[in-house]
Amino acid sequence: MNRSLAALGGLFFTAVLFAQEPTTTPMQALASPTNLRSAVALQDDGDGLLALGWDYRARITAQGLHYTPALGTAAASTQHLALSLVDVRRGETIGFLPQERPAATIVSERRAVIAHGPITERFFVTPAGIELSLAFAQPLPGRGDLVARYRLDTSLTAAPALADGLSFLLAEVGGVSIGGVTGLDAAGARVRGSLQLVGDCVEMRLPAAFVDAAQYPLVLDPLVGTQFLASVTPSSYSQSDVAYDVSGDCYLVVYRKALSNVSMEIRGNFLNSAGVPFGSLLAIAGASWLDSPKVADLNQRDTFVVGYLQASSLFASAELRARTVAAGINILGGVLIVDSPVTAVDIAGDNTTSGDAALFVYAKDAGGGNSTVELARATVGGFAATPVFTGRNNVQVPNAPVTDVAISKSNPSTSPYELAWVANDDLFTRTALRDGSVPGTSFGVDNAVRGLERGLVDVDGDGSTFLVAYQYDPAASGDSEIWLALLETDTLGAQVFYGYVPVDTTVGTKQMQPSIAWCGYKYLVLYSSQLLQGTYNFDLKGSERGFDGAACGPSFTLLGVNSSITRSNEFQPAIASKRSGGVASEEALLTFTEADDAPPFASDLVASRYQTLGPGGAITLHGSNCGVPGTIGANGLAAIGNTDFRITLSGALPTAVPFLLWSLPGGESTCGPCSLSNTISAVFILPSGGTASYAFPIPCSHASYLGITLQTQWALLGTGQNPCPNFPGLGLSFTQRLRFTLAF
Amino acid sequence: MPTPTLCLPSALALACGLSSLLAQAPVPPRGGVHAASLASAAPVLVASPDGAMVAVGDRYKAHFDPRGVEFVPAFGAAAAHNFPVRYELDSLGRSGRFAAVGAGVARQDGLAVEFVRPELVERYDVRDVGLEQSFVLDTLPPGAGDLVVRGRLTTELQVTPHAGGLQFTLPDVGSCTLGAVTGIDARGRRVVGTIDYHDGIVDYVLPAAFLADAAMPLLIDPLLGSTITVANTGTGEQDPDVAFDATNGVYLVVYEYVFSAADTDIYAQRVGTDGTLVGTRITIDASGLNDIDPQVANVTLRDRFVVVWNRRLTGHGDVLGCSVDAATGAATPTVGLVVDSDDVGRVDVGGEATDADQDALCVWDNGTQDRIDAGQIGVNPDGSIFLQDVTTIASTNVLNPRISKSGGTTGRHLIVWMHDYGVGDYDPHGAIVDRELTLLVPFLSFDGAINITASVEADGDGVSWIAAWHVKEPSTVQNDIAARSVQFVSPGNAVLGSGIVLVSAVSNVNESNASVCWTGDATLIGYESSASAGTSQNYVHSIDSVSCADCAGRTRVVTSLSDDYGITGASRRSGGEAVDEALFAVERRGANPDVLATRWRSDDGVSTVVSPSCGSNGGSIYANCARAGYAGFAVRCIDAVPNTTAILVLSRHQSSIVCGPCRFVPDPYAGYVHFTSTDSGGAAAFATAIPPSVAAFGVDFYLQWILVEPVTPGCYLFGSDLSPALRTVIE
Repeated sequence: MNRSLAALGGLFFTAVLFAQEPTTTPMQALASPTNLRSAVALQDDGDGLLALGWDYRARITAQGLHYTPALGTAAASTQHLALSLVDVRRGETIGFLPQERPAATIVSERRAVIAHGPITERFFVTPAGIELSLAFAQPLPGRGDLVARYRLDTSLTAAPALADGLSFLLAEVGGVSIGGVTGLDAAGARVRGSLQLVGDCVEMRLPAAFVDAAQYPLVLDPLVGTQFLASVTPSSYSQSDVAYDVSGDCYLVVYRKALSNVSMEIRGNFLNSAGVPFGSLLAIAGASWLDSPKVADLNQRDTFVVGYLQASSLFASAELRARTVAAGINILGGVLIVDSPVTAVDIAGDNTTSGDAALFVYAKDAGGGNSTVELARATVGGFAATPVFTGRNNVQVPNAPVTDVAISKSNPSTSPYELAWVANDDLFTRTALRDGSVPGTSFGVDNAVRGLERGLVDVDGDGSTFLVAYQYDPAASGDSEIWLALLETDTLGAQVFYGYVPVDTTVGTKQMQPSIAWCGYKYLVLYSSQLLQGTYNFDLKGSERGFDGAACGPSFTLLGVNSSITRSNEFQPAIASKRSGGVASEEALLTFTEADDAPPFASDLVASRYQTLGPGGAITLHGSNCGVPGTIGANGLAAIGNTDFRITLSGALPTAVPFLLWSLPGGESTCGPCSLSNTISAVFILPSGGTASYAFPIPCSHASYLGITLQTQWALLGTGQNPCPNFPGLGLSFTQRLRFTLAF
Repeated sequence: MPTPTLCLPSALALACGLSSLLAQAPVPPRGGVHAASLASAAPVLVASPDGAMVAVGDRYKAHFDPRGVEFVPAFGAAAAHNFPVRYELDSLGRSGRFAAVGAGVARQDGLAVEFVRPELVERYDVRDVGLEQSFVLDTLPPGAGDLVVRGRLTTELQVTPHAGGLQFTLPDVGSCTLGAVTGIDARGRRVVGTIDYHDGIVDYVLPAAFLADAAMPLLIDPLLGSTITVANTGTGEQDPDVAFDATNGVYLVVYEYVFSAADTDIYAQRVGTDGTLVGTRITIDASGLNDIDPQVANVTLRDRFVVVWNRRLTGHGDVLGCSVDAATGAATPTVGLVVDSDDVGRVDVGGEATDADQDALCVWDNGTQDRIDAGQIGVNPDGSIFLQDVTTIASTNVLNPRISKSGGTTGRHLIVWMHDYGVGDYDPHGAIVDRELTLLVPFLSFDGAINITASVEADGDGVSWIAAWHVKEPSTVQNDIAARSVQFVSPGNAVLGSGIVLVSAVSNVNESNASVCWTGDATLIGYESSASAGTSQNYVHSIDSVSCADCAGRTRVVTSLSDDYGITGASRRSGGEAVDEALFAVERRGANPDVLATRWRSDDGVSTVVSPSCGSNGGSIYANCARAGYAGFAVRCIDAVPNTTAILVLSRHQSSIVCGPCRFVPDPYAGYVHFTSTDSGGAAAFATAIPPSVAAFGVDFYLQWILVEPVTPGCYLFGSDLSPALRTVIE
């Protein structure tokens, strides 16, 4: 891979003597970090209509609305507020009494209705809550105020009325608010109504004068939303993972959300290639206790596979479950119970178009604090089809606690996967194949791989070479470091170890939770880094690495989206490279948790696009052509790590004989109309039909040449013209000079 | 090479009395209960404070002096006094010509005493069942007739021939025997001899024909003892107590040994945490007086046990004590702690589980003055003890004091006693003291109802305690077991953490004599349960240490059909070790009286402190009874910052946040974050039932309280103090 630079070794040696200061390149995040709060969902999951917002879950049934605020783990039990229409009156006259209870139906992506005939209950799903409205097609009999009465059933306690609404709270945590009532007629006239709690009924009232004058249809419209107290906000979102599917050209971010201490969900959001959320929120699982959601892509099936741990309570051992999600569409498959009891899991998909199986590596509780490491396989027979278990192989019986497991994701499944795990503070790897077999034996990579938080190890690679990123703490001081181990393997499971590479060995602070992804030209490593010793302040840091694990690009710090003074913990990073979805791209989506550093430890998720191959340095043309030279150009970015960079020639005479001239900027001369570089090297390139191309790989190992500028120019013999009188009779033409600067 | 001897075996194996001490007990299954027999203890041979040697075996003891041996069969309280059998070697001869034996030089050879005399070596091997007496002659005395070894027997017992030997009988009480004589020469040839007894003279006789070609030396081997018949009078070992030493990992079981109504000794045995006996039986006091009611506690700083007991004398009682080296089992000489004319009794002792002090606390009932007194028993580095700072805890109509087994991490003890209000109304009362015996909370009433309660006991961790007692059933003559918790708040202020909870209330069954054992993860209440006379069984009931709610139910301690009483126990926590295990000892009556021990571990969860508290008001954290199906599971903090926001974080995963001197352990982003407030006593609780699912077995989690303390926070990150952090495993 050093072949081009070997040819120019002398040049580079000279060049560094007067190289410019290295270009300060910003991180290659492609957009501002995004959080996922805006997504909502409305779906029929078989148990009725399910509406999801960032801070709530709601059921819409024939009986009305059953709203569950997501108050986070500050709520000891799951709270609810239900509203069921009792009647609608004009004054003392009952104008409408629901005789039958028609089912709720979805009428648009975010809207459901219960059609009562003259009155329609409408439920609009918004990020802030459910907008409940009553649409009156025609006036109701009677006189006086229009009063819609809803029976209230709630576990919450009524709080003092808001200025124009009602509030129901769980002490010191939060609850549900019912916003002010608005009346809106067909002509656009509006009026503020009132809201009152009378006994066990909520009365929504519009004044008689407005109702009498209204043009129908008339709409009565409050908002039912989750309310958080200023002092106590929930700690709800964590443990994100992400995968990419090329057919849907979308990422799926999965994460855990706590509605309360005893009610959790695994949810998902789609983000498009631009990092913009789209589609509905996905309710992947709901249970008293959920943990460790992981996601991988099955390219052939255009389907994501989500694995997670589910238990009947915090106090129960967990099952490893899996279900599928259609890429970009709110369609979910059935649930597969893979194994139990399981304490840690990671999954990999298949980024080829010929494989339909996901692999689950997991730690199975063997009792007595010990675990075994297992590899299970499940196939997916079609688009979002239910996974089918096909078998399991034991990977290791360490007779020790297994604290983390990982499997590579970006390797083509026709090449080996690499498994990594930590047992009793020792790091092991083993090869796995797409059929779920584990050839070879376990390989002990390192020891002292420890830390109290989860996420000690991750692994990724191209199917031949793998980098294992891990948390290393030889002194058991808690001030752990991030290291890489470089391995090669094959389908026989023979593992060759090439050495260790430090990523962050900062003394006195803790670096933890490494995540790694192969992004084509480079690897991307993320980890959480303690800002100062003794602080509860962690930043998310990243580093681009070459195939040998050495630094190959800028180190950077990812910021969250919330700048409040307590929002100082960024951790639990996850990366999905597009390579893991089978696309030859350098892009990836990063997700991480951003959390408060103090009770109640509120947390959000952040997603950020990233491209490992930077923009590179400037590529510019200088001087002018002369003769019949064709056009000089560059293929790719002049970026460190771009091993596909080329100097091109096009539009030349097919009979011309091209030489590529290399020089440093400066000392140019003119000869007739030609602008000639101060050539120090020339290379003949075999042309093809008037084109030529010279490969100039810029591998990571030459990052030390950062900032130098090179100049090239094609000289073509036999063009039949002699524009430069210094070279009479050679038919020598020259292209413009092309300069490029090596940069990240 | 074996010693070529000619034996004259006889065996003065007087094994009268009760088997005793602890046998090996395999490790109990996880969450299970294992009953370990205390029978078949190894005999011991020790030097008494006056230099004489004392042997103690199963149902006997023996004193050696230069003139002979005094064998004391243990006939128990049915014997009005001791009935020793004294043997003194007198002379040796053949053909009717006897020569007095010369003076002997006593020496100890392992578990044997030898008197080396010019003519022979007189030897006593200490066996379980008696003394094996033997004589070794290097040369025969002059003459050609039978060989006679003559001794003098002195005893009040009836002496009759029995199976070639002699039987010594106390009518209607028991008996012991002197076995047949055997002679063995140096080539191993044997001959059965005879024993003749008349007027206090006992002759061991070997026939002349055997002697004619016997190879010397010659061993004469009578068996002194064995073949004991003991009346079913409940004699022998009884009234045990237990303590634990963490440094050496041993329990000490102390108990009485009733030789007669006038002679009760105090013995002890160390027991390892695996249930094996450690060392030999320890003689605490074998004075020949009535030494009763032994109690024991541990002083961690000295790695010693402090043993106290009551000596009943005519018309009054004293309190005596000594210490026992937990590493070696060596006991210091008996010290009179309360020795005056007052009638004192019901002594108890509480230990020191930290290295903060060298004192145990002792309480006793001064019946003459009608008061409960307490004092500090200081333990010097050499193990000698002394009593100081005696103070009165309560007075007037008070009786039967008890004290918690240790002061936990704080050195605070709960002292409990009964108050006689007359007309059938006894109430259990208590007081909290610090390790200097300062009365922190001078008075607590656990049950003020007009009823008959008795036998109050207590144990705790220095912050929270359980008191348990038995209370008369309203309409029967039987008793039930009741319990209540109390938590220390501040000097002068303690709160009763639960109502009165009937731990066991089986109708028409007499449940009585509760003992309390704080294991850290729950509190174990031991008690006797008897439906009719002679059927007493001992049970242990695991309860929540704060709510007193049933935790792991009850289990019978020893599952034989015997008649068991007097259960008492000590946890390893009481010795300062954070291990959820205890040893219970019980007294078995009946035909084979015994003291039995039971290692105990309840299926009530295991909680381990993984980080200490920080700040001055981090308090204590409790997660009692973490067992599947326990609906009353609650995480509590006690003795923390009062009237402040308390935030419980409970997570399956850990974080690693170092905060000042402590660590914030549970991962708040992966678990519960529960807000509540502490009350004026600094207590808060979060209740969350553990589902009755096998899936819960073995699940572990971390928990810690954040206690808002903005002024002087121990953890500056959160502006708070932190409770200790626990790792709790569900069982």
